[in-house]
Amino acid sequence: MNTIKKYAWPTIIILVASLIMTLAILPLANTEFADGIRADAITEGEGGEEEPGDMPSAVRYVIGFIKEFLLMGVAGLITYTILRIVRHFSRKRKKVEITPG
Amino acid sequence: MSSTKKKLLVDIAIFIVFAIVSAPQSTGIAVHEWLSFIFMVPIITHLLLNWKWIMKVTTRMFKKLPGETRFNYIWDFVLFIMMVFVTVSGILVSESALPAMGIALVIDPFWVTMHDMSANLLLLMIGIHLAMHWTWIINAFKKYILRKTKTAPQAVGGQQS
Repeated sequence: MNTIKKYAWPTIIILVASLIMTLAILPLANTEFADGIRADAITEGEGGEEEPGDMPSAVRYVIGFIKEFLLMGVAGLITYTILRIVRHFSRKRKKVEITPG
Repeated sequence: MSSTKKKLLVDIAIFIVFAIVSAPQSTGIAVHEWLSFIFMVPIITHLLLNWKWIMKVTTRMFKKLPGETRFNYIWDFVLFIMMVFVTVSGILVSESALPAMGIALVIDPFWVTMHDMSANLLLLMIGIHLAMHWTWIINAFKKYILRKTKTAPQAVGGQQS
């Protein structure tokens, strides 16, 4: 009972925030930007898009996970490297600030 | 169970479900759509388990705060918006789950493009989110998963904090 009480308000806040965002997102479909994307999609459709039918099913199965791994991995690796550099320099700066003279 | 352990277990569940949900080419559209609905539960749980931190940083946002904490807060907020965007656009292009519930939508190519683009962007953003919390992930994993595996025979009957 206490857990429900503790999390009731945060849950309501999260759901209301999501609902507000949803209502803000939906009108995007009525913009000129949306019309442009629709026109592009129709043009691409007329051009005859290549079907991935020739691809072996095992390759198709693995490709989804490889794409995921690459997108998350590359972004994560770059961020982690930058973070370590930033942490290294901020630690050095703190040492300089602490050291008198 | 300690709150760190709870957070770690929920995060592991989120990661596994997210990995499956994010590869519709591999799992098929039906699994992708139904699992995406279920995915909302661990995501809300993740937010609730970190609610104290969210509130603490929200109240101190315009006061003195470490740069990394401020970045994490803003990034997590943008991530939340992006997650809502991906979910909403996904619902609007549903080919399996909504029709199965008797709701048939006319699929708009605009939302198809938006869903694809935002989902790819979300993957990049999650990668950055994971990197920002990597030290915590590794420490918690070592403490609660690896140590538990090593000391499992002795831990029988005992309760972990």
